Amino acid sequence: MKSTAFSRRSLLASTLGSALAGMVWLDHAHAEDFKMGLLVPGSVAEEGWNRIAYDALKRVEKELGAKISYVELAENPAAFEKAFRDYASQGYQVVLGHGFQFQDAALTTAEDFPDTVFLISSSSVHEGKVIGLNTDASQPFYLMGVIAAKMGKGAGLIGGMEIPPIAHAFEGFRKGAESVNPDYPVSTVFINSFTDASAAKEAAVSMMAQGADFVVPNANAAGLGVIRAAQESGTQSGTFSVYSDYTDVAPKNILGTFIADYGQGIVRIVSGIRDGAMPQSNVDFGLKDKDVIKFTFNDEAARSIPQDLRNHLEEVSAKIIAGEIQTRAK
Amino acid sequence: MDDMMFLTFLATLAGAAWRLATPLIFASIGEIFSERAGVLNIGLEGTMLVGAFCGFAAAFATGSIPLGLLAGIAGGMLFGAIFAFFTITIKADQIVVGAALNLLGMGLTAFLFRTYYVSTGKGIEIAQPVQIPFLSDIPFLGEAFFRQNLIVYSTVLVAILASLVLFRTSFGLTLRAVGEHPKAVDVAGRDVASYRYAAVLVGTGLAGLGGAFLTLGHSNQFVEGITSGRGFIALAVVVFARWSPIGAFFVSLLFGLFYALQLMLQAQASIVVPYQVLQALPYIMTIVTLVVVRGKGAAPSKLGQPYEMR
Repeated sequence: MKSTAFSRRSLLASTLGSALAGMVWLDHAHAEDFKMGLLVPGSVAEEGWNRIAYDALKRVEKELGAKISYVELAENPAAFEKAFRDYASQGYQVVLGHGFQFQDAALTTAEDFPDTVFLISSSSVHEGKVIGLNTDASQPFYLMGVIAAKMGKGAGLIGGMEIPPIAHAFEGFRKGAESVNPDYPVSTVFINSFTDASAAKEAAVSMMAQGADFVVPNANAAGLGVIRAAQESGTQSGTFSVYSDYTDVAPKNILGTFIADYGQGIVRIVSGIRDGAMPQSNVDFGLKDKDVIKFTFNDEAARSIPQDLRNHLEEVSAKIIAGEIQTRAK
Repeated sequence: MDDMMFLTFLATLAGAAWRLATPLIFASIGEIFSERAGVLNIGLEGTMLVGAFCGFAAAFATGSIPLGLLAGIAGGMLFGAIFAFFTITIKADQIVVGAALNLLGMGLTAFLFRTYYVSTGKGIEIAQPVQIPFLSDIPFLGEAFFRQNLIVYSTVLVAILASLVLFRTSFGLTLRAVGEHPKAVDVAGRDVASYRYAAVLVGTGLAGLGGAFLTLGHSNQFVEGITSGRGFIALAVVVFARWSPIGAFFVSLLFGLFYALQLMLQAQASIVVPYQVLQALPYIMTIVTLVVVRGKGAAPSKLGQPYEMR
């Protein structure tokens, strides 16, 4: 059964291969072009996950002079492999599958197209030219944990849902806080929503009533409720702005802002591939990638982070980058 | 937990419960008006979103919270007018129109918000808690009940007023008759359609107010989908409360209480129950109470049925 499938596949591949050869021969003038394809799981017209990849693709076009193409696939796994094959067979050097769900289809396709690099978002795969890309939020959250434990009495974390990126981030926060004070109280609430700013706010209010003076959101737009709660409780409560800059909402309470410019990371990796620098493992963007992970301090905050703590954070960052500190279990 | 901590816990819980119940109280009392007149409006979620957005937009433009609240009510009523036109005048299926309005409300507010207000962070000044002399200073009790903003306090007034209007006025009597026996109302010479329009508009106005509370009295910012299912919970509250405004007030409070409780229990490190169980608490509570207080249904007999004049 398997051999039948395999021979069918190789037949298909050889057919495609000859078609490709024909195309390349006919279209010889453009054979040198650098081409990047993108598979997104939804509409790129909306702000959010799909738009990040689309914007990165447009930057690849503008900054690297690449020919680009993208295809929007609804959650339809049957179409994933076909889309990968379409791009690979047309000689695209890089194809980005924007989401973990594209990983299996890329692995299957890659067997037949050794010249194409397949990048997969939110994945830690590394098999041949299939390379996972990820942002590791546990590293900046580790620094937040250090800050909270050095400056406060207790912290409350408010998450949208317990999905891996959020669970990893909170793990980093706890580890950071524990590194300063093993008994530092950190509590966690999941509101089971990314839109319910009211629930996020009430969760933060109740945490502060129970002694937390740091409340940290990780719940997309609902996190605004947490920042609002900190702002209303007075200048002694601290918080961090996560993934978006909300400093205007609570300029006195936000001690730092963490932004992940994943699009910039994609552009950098793709330009490396164009210039022959293949990543030698899966890519985990962390504090070492200062163009992607940006963690900045707010000098306007009522309890702005003191200079000696900033120096300490520099040292901690250096240790995280050097791999001496693990911010989460691998 | 020592006693002082426990009292603080209870006071925070009670305060949070009332705030979380407020949008439910407005929306469910509004829906009671509508359903008592025989019109089942499941478009509450979309209506609340429109109220939340209109309230935010008006307050953002003018800086005035009362104007924002009025805009929230007006937005809700405008949305309700669409619903009323299709269900009462054209006699389309109420469930279908309601579902369509939910989708329209979500899509429309998200579109308008992204078009005009997408820059993050720009918020508005929200209604501040009102300090009541003496009462707000009572230890624990003051914290729990007397440090809310005026919108939260007004829920008591709205519940009492709604009850008076429905059960103590001629308008309320006719409105209820329209839901029970519209033909009798018609024969008595009163226009069934007008009463249904009035009921739907009062109901959606209140739902709009409930939505506006979210942006003007709680968060200072509109978030896409900020109602997060409250419109659907309000529909359950109506059934649970047996179509009584006072009942809806207390059922909403109960729901707010359990919602606040699960948020607070999750944060207690000493409690080893998985947080998913705690999240399910308000819904488990709803089912259990429905079973315990079961009895003869009090649904208006013509609920969901268009009235055909002969």
